Amino acid sequence: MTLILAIGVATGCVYALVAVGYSLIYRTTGVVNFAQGSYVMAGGFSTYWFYEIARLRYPIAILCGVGVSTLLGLLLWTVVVLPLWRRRSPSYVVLLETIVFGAIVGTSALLLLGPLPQTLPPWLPGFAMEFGSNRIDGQYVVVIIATILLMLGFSAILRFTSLGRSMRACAASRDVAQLLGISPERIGALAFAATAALGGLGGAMITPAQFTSADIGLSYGVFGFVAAVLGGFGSLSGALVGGLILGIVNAFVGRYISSSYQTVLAFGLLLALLTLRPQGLVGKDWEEA
Amino acid sequence: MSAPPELKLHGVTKRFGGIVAVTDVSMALTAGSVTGLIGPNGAGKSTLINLVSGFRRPDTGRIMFADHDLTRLDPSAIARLGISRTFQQAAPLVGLSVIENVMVGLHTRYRSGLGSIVLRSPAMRREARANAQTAYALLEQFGLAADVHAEASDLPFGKLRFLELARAIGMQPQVVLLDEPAAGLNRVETDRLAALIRVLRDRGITVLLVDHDVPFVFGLCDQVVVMNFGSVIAAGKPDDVYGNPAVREAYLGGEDQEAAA
Amino acid sequence: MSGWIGRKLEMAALVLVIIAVVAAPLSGSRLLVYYFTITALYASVVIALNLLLGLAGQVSFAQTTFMAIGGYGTALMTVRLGLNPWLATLLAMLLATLAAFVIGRPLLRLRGHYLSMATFALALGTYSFVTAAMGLTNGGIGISGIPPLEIGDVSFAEPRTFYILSWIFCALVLAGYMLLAESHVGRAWRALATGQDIASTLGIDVPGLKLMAFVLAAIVASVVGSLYVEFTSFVGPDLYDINIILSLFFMLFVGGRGSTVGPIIGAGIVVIVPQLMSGLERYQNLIFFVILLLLLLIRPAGLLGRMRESVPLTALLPGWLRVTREGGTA
Repeated sequence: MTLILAIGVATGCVYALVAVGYSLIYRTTGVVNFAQGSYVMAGGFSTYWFYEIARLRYPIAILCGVGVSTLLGLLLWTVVVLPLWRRRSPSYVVLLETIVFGAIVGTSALLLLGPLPQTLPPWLPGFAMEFGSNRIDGQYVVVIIATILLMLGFSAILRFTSLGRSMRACAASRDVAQLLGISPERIGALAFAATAALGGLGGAMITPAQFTSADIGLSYGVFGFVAAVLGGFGSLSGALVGGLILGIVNAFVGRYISSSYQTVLAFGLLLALLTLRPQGLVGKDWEEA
Repeated sequence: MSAPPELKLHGVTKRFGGIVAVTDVSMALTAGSVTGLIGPNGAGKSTLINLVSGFRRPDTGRIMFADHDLTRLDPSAIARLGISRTFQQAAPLVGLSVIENVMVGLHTRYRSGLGSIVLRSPAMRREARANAQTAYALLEQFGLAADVHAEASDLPFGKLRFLELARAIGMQPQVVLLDEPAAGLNRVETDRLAALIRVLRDRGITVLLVDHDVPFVFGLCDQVVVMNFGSVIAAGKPDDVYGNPAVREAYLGGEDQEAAA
Repeated sequence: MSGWIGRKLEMAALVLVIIAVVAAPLSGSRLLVYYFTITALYASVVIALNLLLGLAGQVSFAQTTFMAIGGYGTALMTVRLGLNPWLATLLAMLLATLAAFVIGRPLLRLRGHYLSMATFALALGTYSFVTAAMGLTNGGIGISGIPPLEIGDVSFAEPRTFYILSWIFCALVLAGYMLLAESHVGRAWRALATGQDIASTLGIDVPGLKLMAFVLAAIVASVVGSLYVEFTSFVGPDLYDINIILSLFFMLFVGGRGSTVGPIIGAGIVVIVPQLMSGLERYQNLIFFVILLLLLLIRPAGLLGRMRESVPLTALLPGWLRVTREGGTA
């Protein structure tokens, strides 16, 4: 039981990182980026390549893996979203393009690295926590703690730095921000890069505990999205809340019903949320998050 | 013959957050009359139009048209009761041609359903032809006959205003709410607009128009209502209102702003 | 002018399609007849999508949901309940209509990306459901043995007869689209697509019209879903996966949103071109995705679309790489 909870909270943290990505990008650029999940896959899978194939030292491999996902985020922004954004293309075209981009990343990973799931060594070998008779893999704890730190750090950056203020200005109004001398395009690039890095890191972190493979992108993208909507699309604290709730629910569904029903449940929940309560559970104003 | 339908507002109030846009406004518009609504910027005039046309819901008060209570209705239901409106920024339907814009205004006249359309029934064809002719006639009346197939959003501003009016009339409304119809028009166009509004009045249509062009409003309207800070400060015949000291005071500030602009 | 007849390109395209459709069975190639049949079926779905998206401006990814209702509904009713395939098709269509009404009302209240996201969730959720519900749908294995359609002793299992059936269906859907597009209903759809508030002040029942378009598209999708599985006698989740969801949009965009014949051309290209790329099967998906990505960036109007957008390649470069100065935001 504690094991399921641990799995749930840990995967929930990764969902939260993806959800933060959705919300941050939505608030600063107005774009819904469905390629968010592919960063998780890219981070984990390329870390695997850097470590096992290129034989780099583990910390370096992780850094490179996160670097790859960050680059993908920048690529998506520069080549795809920015031109459409400048043209004020209809939002569903941008949405469609991000979906296609995610599909390209997934398919490329499949072609380059094969269909087999892979794993990585734990960050703190031998580390595990005991809860009564249960032994919990230490990697889950790593994920949880790291996520909390990342979220706190992120929140601090947004609230206390001038960069954070610029981002919040863009979130409020693209045009007003421009008048204030802020470049929405640079902020957009930063948002895409930052969220890609977060996602990639999440992927690298969770891989030692679970597997990574070329096709997990869509599923993390979906779960992360549901988490974002659950917590209130655009809200950071909502992303964390939504992620944790979904992670735990998913873990229980996976254990007691079947893993294939996890996605059905997620979609059903998403549909219900969007039609009945689109502002989600927390639904707070982003600036207050 | 029943009494001609009147548009009445009773004690209408609307708040936006901490700002009271409209305070306890009451007015009565008789059928076949033109009422002008004037006041400095921010007086609540456009909000009032939005309230009557259903884009906003009043916090208190009632809006009645004949026996119908408009207060809680949405814009489409209000339109179907015979109340049409124009918008402050000229709002053509982008992507449709000039005549298509007007024909959309005629939508409520169509009776053919999906079946008749797909089977091309004689009734449907007759209806389509009749309405096309009506649309042409309307365009001629409003001086747009030369632009029939032009892309509506390509029209110069003055013509856009007339297109919007033609479209609103196509609905065969009993009440027309005009939100700054003369804004951006030159003298010639304004006079033509006034003439068209008089034609509407003669047909028994009730017109409520909001505008800043004082000669236009005072020369045309049977009744003038003056608003400031959300309330009505004067109402009556143009001559009476013109001499009203409260109106002068409200407008002295307004004139300074407009002179400076 | 909404009349398509005036546009020479569309006329030429229609003539091309008619010639191809008539020539294919005469060519003697069974493969061609097969792929053209598939084209007709998908083209019908995309024409309906064009009505919903191109005319009424409602972005719905959910066509595959209704195709699945048609496909799985027909399969279950014929294989498990032994119903006549015509009856099963009809019943599945009624079920789809009901579902569209029930789901459509709340769904269509959403605007902008919320509608896209909700319908995307619906479509992917449908795929997940049919994969997971082993007891009902046999999951990934699918259901086979679906009986073919028959009238008297004419069996539509015969490729030529099904070919004719599917193209007649497609022609009917196209005719329906054209008639509706030119009518006052079509104008009302275009009005609400571009100015929903204005349309409502003109007395147009916006929610009702949106629902009408949604339900019409669902009906066509459901019938195609049924026809498809009766043609191949098999149904499985892969018929409704992300690739198909994206393919429908690809077909619509290649042909050109808002064009009339575009969906047929688009469907033809998407169905037939991959078959010409033998040896590249492994890369098929990737190539398809990349082309879709580029298409939306470079020529969003598609082949026959009437939008004025056709973007020069240099516009894709970030500002600091461009040599000529760009004049402000687009």
